[in-house]
Amino acid sequence: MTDLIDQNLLRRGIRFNTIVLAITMGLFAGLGLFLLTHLSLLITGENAGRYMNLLGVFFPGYSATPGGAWFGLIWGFVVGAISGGFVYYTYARTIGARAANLIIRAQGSGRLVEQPVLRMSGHALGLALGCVMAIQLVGATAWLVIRGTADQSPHAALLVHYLPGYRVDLSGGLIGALDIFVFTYGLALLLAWIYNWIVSLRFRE
Amino acid sequence: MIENYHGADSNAADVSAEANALLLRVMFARVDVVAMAPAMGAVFAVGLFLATAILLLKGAPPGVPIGGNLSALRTFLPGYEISWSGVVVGSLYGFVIGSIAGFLLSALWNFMHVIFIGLAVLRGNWLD
Repeated sequence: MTDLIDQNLLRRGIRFNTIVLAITMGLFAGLGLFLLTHLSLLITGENAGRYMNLLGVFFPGYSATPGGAWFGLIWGFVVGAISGGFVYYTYARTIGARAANLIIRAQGSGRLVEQPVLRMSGHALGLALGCVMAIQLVGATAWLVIRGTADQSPHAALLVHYLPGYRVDLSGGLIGALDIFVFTYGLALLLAWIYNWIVSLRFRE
Repeated sequence: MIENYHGADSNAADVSAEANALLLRVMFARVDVVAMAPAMGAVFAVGLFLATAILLLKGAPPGVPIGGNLSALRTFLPGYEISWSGVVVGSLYGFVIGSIAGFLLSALWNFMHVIFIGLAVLRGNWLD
């Protein structure tokens, strides 16, 4: 079927949705971090920074304060947008023209109203999300090493509880990246399976 | 789906046009918010379940509290603790939080599509 699809149209469609998901994730992450910072301040007061200030290591200017929350909004948007764009691009390039098989034409009340509903490819989603999580872990670990604070990062070192073999150095970061890729891939498969199952129950062609 | 999409007398050009039309529908297809919410909820629930259970199974040296950092979540999640009952409580919280996140994310995706398509139509009308 791939030779039936206009490849230029496919590329433009991928670019369009890459931008859409980038902005969507940017808004979600930026606003999420902004609101979480204020929620933390509301609930814990002066102790808000006990863990959240650790984000300031990766996001210069961020702190668990009303002013620092604005930096969180900006950094969250930037990181969310880059991640979202990467995820969609990787997902779309993985499924390619097979995307045409990933919709359901949902019928409306008694009339043939075409409301295409998306289904998901668990494999493509796992690949995309796994890669972005792995890259972020490697990047974060590398940043700690470059800063020279790898030895003073006990919270990062605790990740070894969930990521066997992880250490706060470059080789340990790569091992952790592999672990987190596998873990994220599995969760993405679960997400797509449940989503597709509910969609198939709700919309029957 | 392509094979069911065209009539008996269609030629390759018609089939290609229909394939491209189908591709456009895929590009602008909406995410089902009702499906995404529980799906994300389940993922978050499993995540928090595993995060807590792994620490309990691994244990800690004598005199060291288990999950001293993860237990800080109880500030936001009343009733959560690093225990087997806390595993259940955490999973429930994870499901609720994940469902809200899934709902918002998919609603925002669908809304952004509407905005972008609207802007494209306006731009097309403006240029005309």
